Amino acid sequence: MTKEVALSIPTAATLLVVLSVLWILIGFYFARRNKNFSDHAVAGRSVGLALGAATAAATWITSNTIMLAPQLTLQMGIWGMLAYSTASFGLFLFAPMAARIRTLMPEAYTSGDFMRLRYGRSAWLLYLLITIFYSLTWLVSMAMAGGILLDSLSNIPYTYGMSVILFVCVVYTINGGLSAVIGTDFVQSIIILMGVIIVGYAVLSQVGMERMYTHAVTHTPALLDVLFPAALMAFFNNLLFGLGEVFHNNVWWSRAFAMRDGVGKKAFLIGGLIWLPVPIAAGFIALAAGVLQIPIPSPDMVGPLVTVHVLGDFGAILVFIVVFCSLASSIDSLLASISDLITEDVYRKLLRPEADTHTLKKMSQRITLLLGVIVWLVCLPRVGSLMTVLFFAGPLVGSLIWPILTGLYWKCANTRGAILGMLLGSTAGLIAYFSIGWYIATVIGTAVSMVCVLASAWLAPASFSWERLGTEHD
Amino acid sequence: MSSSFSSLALSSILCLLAIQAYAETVTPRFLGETTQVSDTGYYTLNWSNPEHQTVTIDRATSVHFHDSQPVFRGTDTSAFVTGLSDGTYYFRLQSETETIQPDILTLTVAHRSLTESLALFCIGAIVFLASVLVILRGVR
Repeated sequence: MTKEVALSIPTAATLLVVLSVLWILIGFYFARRNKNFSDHAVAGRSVGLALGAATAAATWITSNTIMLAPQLTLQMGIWGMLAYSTASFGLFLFAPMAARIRTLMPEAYTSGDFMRLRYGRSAWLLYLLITIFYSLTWLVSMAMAGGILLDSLSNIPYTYGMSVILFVCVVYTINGGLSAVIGTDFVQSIIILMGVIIVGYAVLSQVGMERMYTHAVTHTPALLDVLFPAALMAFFNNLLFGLGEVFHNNVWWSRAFAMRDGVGKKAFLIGGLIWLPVPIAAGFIALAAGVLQIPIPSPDMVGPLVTVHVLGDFGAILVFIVVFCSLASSIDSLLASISDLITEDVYRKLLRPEADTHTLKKMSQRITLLLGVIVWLVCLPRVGSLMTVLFFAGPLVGSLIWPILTGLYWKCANTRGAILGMLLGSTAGLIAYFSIGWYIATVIGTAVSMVCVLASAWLAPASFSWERLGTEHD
Repeated sequence: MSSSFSSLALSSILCLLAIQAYAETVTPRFLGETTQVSDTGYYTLNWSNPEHQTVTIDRATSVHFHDSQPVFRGTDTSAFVTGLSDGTYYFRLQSETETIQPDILTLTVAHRSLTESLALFCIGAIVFLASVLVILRGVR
């Protein structure tokens, strides 16, 4: 028996083919000058302002933004919507950091390079463990979400939808590396923003703010409560999760290395400004569900359900396109980022230090392919959403904020503090996750990590020489 | 005569019991415990509905459903309710095609203490502001 869906299989299949061909062509176009590892991993370090700002915004607009922003609004009301948009602070604060990273490490490739040179091998290995676990979880959750969403919007079987999205991203990422990723991000970000604006406008015209407000006051008063306890806790939790993700992940560091001198700071600031209103625009539509009497079977479906209800068939097509774009913009970034991290930090630094730039590029391409196959195999049995696991990773990334921040700005930050911060911060955060809830785990993890880093720097201050960060060259 | 009457009565009772047992297996029922708690003001109601019957769910703050409000009508098997303030809520699940007794789920909403939440909010704010301070001082 087939379930009732918004799009027919022929329409959905046509959209899938058109979008797949489009991304592959755009990816190949932007990969024209991809010759060696530097071109492949950091786009020849020549990305300008427009592409830089667009890629910062588009990478941060994942399917989570489209699905989770309305979900958080539905669960935690106004605070939830604002909490999600605070993730843009990650981009704002990373802007000056990107400029410093580019100055201190003009020829580095990955965030792993920084951890190794700044804190030594033990802290570096611990960092690699956390970041690869987190990135792979994110990648698998995106690929799974792709299959599940296409299945729920049309009747395209989960395996086909998931496989096509993953295949398309793997193809153009292998061929073009970061250049292709950034180029496709540019187009995807424009489409996503247009989609969000159209849906927001349609909901406002059909429902209106006044009706949404009146309905919320009568039926769901807690959503408008300024002192909503769980939402108050979730506010900084979300903000710090965003900070931890941007500060530590090679997805963002690789972009800092890829941008031309003087571009990084402006690009991340503009990217943050572009991103800031997106969760609000995507999130407030959840408040229309009650007015329109749309039954919501699970909170993560509220965004698509409201869109399809308001815009009909056109809405279903729009959701399909926007979700495909947001998934692709995250999957390709993660594929490129993880493969570069493994190529640079594991293959070059641990196994083949003498490997030349062409060998490294080939290795990076093979690792991307291998990653694609592994993720595909993990996603094949549809085990449901990995969003819970992603929230579970919140304390882990939160515990990395202070080791990275102080490592970048303070000479006195030391290795012991960084390692203790990562270990104790993660542990305390995970305990909070299970004993209180997901909405506070990152705050606790980050706070404990901060105390470890500060105490260690105060008790045994190091005297790090910044020149050491620039000692490795292409 | 009396023996055949007894057999007939027994058969009828068994038959009624079987019909009732069948009705109970196909009648939509809430899954899990019928008493639940939430500290966030939201909850996902899940129920069985093997024959895809049209069901309705009403919410009330009184067990007699004097102030009931419709929550759901359809053939699905879950519904998300949100934005609930502290208090006890009753959810009544009824099939539109079966006349059997409706199922009631009791949800007690008790948000976490405001003091605890504000304390954790302040910890988050301090950690965030300290991070901003490190960057601003580093930029100078």
